Amino acid sequence: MKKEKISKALGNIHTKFVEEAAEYKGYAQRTWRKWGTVVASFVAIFICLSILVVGLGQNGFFDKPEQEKEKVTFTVLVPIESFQGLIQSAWDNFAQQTPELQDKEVTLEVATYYSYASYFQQEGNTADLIFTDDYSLWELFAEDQLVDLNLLGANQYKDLFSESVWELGTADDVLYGLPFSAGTVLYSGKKDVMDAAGVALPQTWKEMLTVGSTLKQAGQTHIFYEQCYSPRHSMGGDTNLLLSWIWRLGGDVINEDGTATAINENDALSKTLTMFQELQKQNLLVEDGSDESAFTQMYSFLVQYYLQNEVNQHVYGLMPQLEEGIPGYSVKYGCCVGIPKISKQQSLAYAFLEHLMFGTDNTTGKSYQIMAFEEYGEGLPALTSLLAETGFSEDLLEIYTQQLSISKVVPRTKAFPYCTEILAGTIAEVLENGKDPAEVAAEVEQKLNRLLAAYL
Amino acid sequence: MEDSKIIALFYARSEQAIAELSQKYGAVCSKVADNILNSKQDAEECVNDAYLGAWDTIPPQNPNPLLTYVCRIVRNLAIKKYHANTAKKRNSHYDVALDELENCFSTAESVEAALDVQELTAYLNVFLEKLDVEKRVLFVRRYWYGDSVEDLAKRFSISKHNVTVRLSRTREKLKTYLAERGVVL
Repeated sequence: MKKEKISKALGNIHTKFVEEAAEYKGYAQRTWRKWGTVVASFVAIFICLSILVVGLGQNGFFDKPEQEKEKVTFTVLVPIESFQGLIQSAWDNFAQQTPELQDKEVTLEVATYYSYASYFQQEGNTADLIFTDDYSLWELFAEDQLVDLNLLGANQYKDLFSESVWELGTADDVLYGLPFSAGTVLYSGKKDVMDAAGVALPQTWKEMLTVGSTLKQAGQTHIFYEQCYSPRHSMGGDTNLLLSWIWRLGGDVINEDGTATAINENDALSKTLTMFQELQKQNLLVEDGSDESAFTQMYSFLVQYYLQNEVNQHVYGLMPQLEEGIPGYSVKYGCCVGIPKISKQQSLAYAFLEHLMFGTDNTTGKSYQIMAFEEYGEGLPALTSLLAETGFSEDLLEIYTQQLSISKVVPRTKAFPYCTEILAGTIAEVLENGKDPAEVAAEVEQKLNRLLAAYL
Repeated sequence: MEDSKIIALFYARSEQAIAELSQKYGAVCSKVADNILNSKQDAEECVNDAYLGAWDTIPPQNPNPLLTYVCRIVRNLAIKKYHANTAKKRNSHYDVALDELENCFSTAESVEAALDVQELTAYLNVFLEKLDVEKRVLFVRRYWYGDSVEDLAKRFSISKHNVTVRLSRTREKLKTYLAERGVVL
């Protein structure tokens, strides 16, 4: 038992150690050390000569060349274009106030990505600051791609935020991002269904628990909608949409405490994949770099499809867990700002992050969204009451396109990435390899189990 | 063939991907599996299962580096098989390596006091981070890859005795490090 534990613990050590040991060339390094000493001696002589030459130059032997300004490129990744203006103006202000940047030629690059996964996979890409929604943040956290901001001193700002908001950027006591904006999840309910069950749209988290429980007991339905980015990317896009639809169709893909994954409803998966095929046929899949009109078109299709196919027969299984403060995924929607490990100028990035959050006119570090969130306290967003007035109608389109996130509450556990990996592959098999949705759906559970067996 | 091209073959669902993967990393994978299982036949089976694992997971995975990714799958499968085989035979390099390491850990007096695997990994990561590169590589090659002392002597161009001494010193350090933190299993 003891050995088994040691063996398992060793098996999970950080990949960088395993990689280092795979690539290590003992003999070559020792040889290199020997020759390195020789080379170092030459370098030392060269440096002495250089000092002599510079000294001569200063005494008028040579003309001193004009010193070129050091070039600095600072890259910020944002999920939506509307962030660009804000960042540019904060950067201009920061560059003026920062003496170290005065004698440098500074370029700010702000790039918009709907999904960061592909950006990080491309060799040579870099980033110094990254704005993420909580899903992308989690994705990057899982990949160990973000710096712990606590180590840079960001924990001093913790008291400025409510605990709930601070949690947006925190996982396992590590601070991966400072909360930039926050809002409660959008909860949408079908009015006729709720009327039939004798419940009103909840206005507080506490009421939401009661309503959820009543609906569940009554075998009634209500609807959750999930934000999605490009439905062609594994972690941040199509899988989100796929999960949301499987749940809506009555299927489930992950157990209640998030520790295991299994598709319990192949029919729901098959129907969802068919819906994806339809999106593809109508050329409505949103690619990276698409503008927001592409999303509007896709959402328009989804709402129509949703209504026509009456796919809202789903009781939200995790409803009892939905309460403020659960360290879950997308209990609340938020945007955080973090520093990726690939940044070669992390100190500069942190200085700019502090300026952006705390050094501008908004000295509290809170965006208006965070302030609104905290003002609501336990209340649900005002948008909920809008839905109460409209029932379920196309007014939802307006809300869907505002990038609000609705999601299942799933603890951050190991099982989730395996689940999304498999689902992403599933979509690829249908859309890119033309496989039959029903056939693929039947294979998924087997694949999940095989993958889990290999990894967990 | 470059890793990126092999991955491209996986993405194209070409079976050539497995052939290329096997040609490039088959020997390393077999060595890792054999170190743990001490059976060519079991090791081969394990490596083939790992290829299947890679086939099922790429895409969506796009592992970089590919070698570590495949090795991890091989190791996980081999360890699983190793535990299944343990009752029957105990003669692999890995067995000996685990015996060496076992002494670093005190035994918990109660189940509650025992650390779980995740916590233990966290301690090991911190310990490894503090070691210098050569000692760390030696440790990882011995206890992760299951390399024999002889293999390590060749790899590091040092004597077998030297390998043993260095490993023993690192284990002592680990023992002290864990004891200071009250780590028990």
